[in-house]
Amino acid sequence: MKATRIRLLAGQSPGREWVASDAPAGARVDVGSSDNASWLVKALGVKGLHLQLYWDGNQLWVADLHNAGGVGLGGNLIRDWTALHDGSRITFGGAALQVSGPTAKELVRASSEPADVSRTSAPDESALKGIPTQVATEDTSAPHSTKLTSLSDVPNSSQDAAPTPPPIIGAGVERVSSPAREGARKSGAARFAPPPPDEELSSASGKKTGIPKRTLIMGGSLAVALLVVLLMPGADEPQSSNSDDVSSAQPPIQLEVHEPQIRPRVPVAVSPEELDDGALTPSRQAADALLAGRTWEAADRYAGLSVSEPSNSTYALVARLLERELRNRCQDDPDAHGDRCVH
Amino acid sequence: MRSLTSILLITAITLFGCEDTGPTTNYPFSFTAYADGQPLSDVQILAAGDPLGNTDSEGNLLVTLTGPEGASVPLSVRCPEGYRSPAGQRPLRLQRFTSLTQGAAENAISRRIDCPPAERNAAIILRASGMADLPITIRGREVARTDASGVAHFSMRMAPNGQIRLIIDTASRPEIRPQNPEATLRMPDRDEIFIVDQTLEVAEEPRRRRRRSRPTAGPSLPTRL
Repeated sequence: MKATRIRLLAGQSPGREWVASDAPAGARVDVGSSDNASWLVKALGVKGLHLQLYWDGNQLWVADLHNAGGVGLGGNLIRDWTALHDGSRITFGGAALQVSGPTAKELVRASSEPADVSRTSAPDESALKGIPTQVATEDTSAPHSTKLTSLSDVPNSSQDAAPTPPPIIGAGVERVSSPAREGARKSGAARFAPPPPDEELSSASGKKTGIPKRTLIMGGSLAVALLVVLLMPGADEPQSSNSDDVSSAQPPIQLEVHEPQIRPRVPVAVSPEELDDGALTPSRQAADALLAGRTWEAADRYAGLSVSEPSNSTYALVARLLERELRNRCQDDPDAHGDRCVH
Repeated sequence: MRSLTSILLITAITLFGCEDTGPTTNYPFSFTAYADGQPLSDVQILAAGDPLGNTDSEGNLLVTLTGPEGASVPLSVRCPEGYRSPAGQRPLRLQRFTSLTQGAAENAISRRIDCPPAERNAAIILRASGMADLPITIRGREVARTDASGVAHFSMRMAPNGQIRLIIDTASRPEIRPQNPEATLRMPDRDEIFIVDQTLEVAEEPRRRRRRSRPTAGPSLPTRL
């Protein structure tokens, strides 16, 4: 099956790629510009710990857990856990990541293989704690909701998942990585380099031996289901009478159960009203103030931006022009602006 | 014809000058140059085509002209590079006067010179419905990108009355509607803030509908279970 990997498109980092599917289920990666980040990415506007990636063994997720500087996915700001798909593009500050992974077709094909049945099954509850899954969200009555929701927002689903998120492990990938990778952890480049072929093999085999119970349960369920069908009166369809057709009967079952997981996520436009101030970048807050006609506030915000981000001369220019505008207003009608015109 | 005109002009000036106290008198003139209200240095002042001098760092130039009373002297101005030289300056008239202000430092006639900048600053603020990482292009060249909150700030210099057309390049996001929206900005003769608030929407992917039909097309086994 094609590997799920996430690649650095913009920004500076010693590591350009992380092969998530090589990591064990439950692996977490903190991405940011500080040395504490598991994946060191430097670019304008990238905060120390900017975002977190999570690999549940089957699906890659992203969240703006640290609420540091805003994380965009497909043009929308995200905060809660959001599933990533092939082609998903994450933007944070001046950096960008892109996911490349198995296509929906590949997943469907893979789900029909007995060995991969467990891979397409629902993740462990422990892995799901606090992590809203797309499956769970779309299993609710509002699969096409235009608002990003988390499990904790959905009353029925929230009972299944623990309300508190799992402990954040900055270097979860490294903690469970092989000794060979431990040695390579010192440098960021090695941290996210693809493992050597022999390690890849052992890692893959480790995965298969690590989940035989679920495979057995799933297989057993299928077998029981098939038996029930066979014993039902009128269930004399020829396809259920030989072992080859047993496997052909599995795909529709799995499709029904797991279709939401492979369904491409439809980007959702989040209106400014739906975003609270914490999710907006300072430049957006300044622009919003100006567009809303709050010129005094906008002038203050742009003046602050011109100091905090001197590399963008536009902020200083806007601050200067707003100051000119306000000076004119004060000259025209000092009383209309209260104390602000005293200055 | 030209020589005849010149002779008549010189004769007239001479006669006119002889009417008063003497053939020549000193007439002080003070020039102050500004660019958008700020004093401007290195502005060259010319009288009848001859340079009189350049303005100093405070935009000032004090000169004394000599000539017959009432004579008219053509005035021209050359602004430094990056500024527009004003055309059609009123000629200077050599006239004696007495200041009403007692003890005035300079009994000079003051003349204001304006040299507006040749280009103006445009600060462009673009808000694109929260859509991040969209390139903004002008004449096919990317000049900015929307940030994580879907806004872009950039500035450029333009000649007054110039016009630019900026495009939000949505080529990488085919699901966005409208595709590649444009905005045309016309530069006034002053620095200006342009605000572009572009509403963008995300169209649903058609694949989603196709997938929905899949269960009905499949075997009825799951339903029976």
